[in-house]
Amino acid sequence: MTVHTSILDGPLTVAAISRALGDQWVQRAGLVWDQVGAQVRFDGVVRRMEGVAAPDKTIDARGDRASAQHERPLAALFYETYEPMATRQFQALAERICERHCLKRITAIHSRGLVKVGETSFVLIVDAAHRREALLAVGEFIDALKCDVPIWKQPRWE
Amino acid sequence: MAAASGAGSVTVTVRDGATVQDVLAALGEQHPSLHFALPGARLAVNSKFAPASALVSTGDEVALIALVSGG
Repeated sequence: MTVHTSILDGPLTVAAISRALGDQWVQRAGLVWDQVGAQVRFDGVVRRMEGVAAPDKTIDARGDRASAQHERPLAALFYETYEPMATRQFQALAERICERHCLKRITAIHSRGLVKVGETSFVLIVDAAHRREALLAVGEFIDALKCDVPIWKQPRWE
Repeated sequence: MAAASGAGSVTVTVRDGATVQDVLAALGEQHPSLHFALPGARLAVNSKFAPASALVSTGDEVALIALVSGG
């Protein structure tokens, strides 16, 4: 079980990811590569339109008050982190998911600071024996990331 | 959270032997601008999420972690 996690300043370009992971990752150091039957990669990209809660509240079909939402065009997202907790929680989450799904390797990288529309802010790569555990691991990791890792995104509007 | 309060940190007054739950309640009472964010928030004590019953001691770093939005 091999775990790589990083929180990097700015967008996750190919060069930034390569610098963070190094040649050993590409060469699959520590990975029994002939046991990997599935690699799944998820890239989180900043999209142009972002939902905004409207100031007025409407009554929905259940009779509950709910915020009406509309979308505005973004220029970028600014990712704020609470350290050292963000780094620790990110690493702990990766280890937990790797062990729970018997992954061969998990690699998770997240941006800090400004990431523009169209740029990548989050990369998750899992290597597993079979696709089932790889796909489950990706979904579970992202759900937990949005609960347990103190990273917040702040909109920078056009 | 910092934007809501207008500051990176705030001061709350709690009794000796206060728990995380006590601190959350005090935040809501003493800083109304944070009231909207409390329902989904958790407290971290010394960079670890702490349960409501955990005691808070002098010198602890206590952080209010609002609903996160990474990924």
